[in-house]
Amino acid sequence: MILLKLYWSFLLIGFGSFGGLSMIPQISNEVLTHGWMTAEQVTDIVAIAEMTPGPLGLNCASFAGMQAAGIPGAIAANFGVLTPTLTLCAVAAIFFHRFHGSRVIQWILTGVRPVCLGMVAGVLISLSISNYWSGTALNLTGIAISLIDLYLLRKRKVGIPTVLVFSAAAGLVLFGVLGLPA
Amino acid sequence: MAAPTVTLSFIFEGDFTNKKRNLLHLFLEFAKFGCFTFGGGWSIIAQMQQLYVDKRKEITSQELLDLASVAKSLPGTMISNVAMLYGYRVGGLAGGFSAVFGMILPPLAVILVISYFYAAFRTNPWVNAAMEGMQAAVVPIIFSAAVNLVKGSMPYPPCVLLLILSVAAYLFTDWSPIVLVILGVVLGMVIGSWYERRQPHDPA
Repeated sequence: MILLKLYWSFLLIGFGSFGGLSMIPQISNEVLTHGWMTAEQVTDIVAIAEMTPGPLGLNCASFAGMQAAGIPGAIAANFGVLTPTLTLCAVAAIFFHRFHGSRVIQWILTGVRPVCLGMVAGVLISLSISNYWSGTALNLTGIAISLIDLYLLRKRKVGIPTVLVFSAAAGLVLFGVLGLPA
Repeated sequence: MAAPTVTLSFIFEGDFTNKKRNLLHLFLEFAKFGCFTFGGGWSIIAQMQQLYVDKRKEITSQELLDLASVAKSLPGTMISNVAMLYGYRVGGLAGGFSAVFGMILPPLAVILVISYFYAAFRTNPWVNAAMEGMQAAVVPIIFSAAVNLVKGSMPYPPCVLLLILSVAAYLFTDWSPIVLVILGVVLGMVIGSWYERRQPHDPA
């Protein structure tokens, strides 16, 4: 029964949201009203979901499901969040593949591509502000790591996993060992 | 008898011109992406670009942007939607499911382990120092992917205007992404059909 409830709650979260931080209010509302997590745990899970790989919505689902009903709970909650992908997006994939070449779809994409790029640019700007500006000071160490990463990605064509491992190591040394301010 | 079989095979397997991909390979490729997706949906696009556009040249950056646009426009998490769209493209429905489940497995495993000692994990200074470093990688990774996606994505001048408009709307309004996408669909129809009608009269 609890598994069905978990599935249903996270199904609603999946269909009602478009990923990322927009999911947080809904997730927090569902898990608090069912008593699956405390408000403090919700704050913790958002921090942890951002520290671990994978989409925020799925990570929150795994954690809440785990708290409520162990591993089966985590799997039920994951399926809930994934249901839009496994149904709606699967149908969209079929139609998109079929009609990708059509004139109307090409017209639509003429408008949707810039909008999508605009949203990436928006994400980049807000991420830059939150990552590099603490409110009172610039995170110079972070900026230095980012610039090296950019050089590795653009000029040396280094793979993303390598860049992430390098950045984690740089963080350990600069922030951990040397104690530079973040 | 023949007709329904054709329809069904189209739904489940698609009509692919290129040779179909090994499902296990697809599963493992997305499992690897799943290990390194930090910072939201665009980080998987960046990884797919390195592997499928730059290295294997399986798809163009334009096609990748199209998949990203559709994934972003649908409900659910963008990362799993992208996995489904790409998986279907190269391997039919089975390919879509392989990619989605491959992608979610590593993050799920990580959370399952961490949920046992998450308080210690969150407050450990070494973990936080490493995470702080990784966070610094997110902006350059997404930026680098976005730069590659821009090429050829805005063939007409009004598209640039639309880009500026959507950056502004993203930053300064609380419009949902779906509102922006619908705006893009409507204006895209107008811009696309307008320039297509103009083209025949244009000798250049």
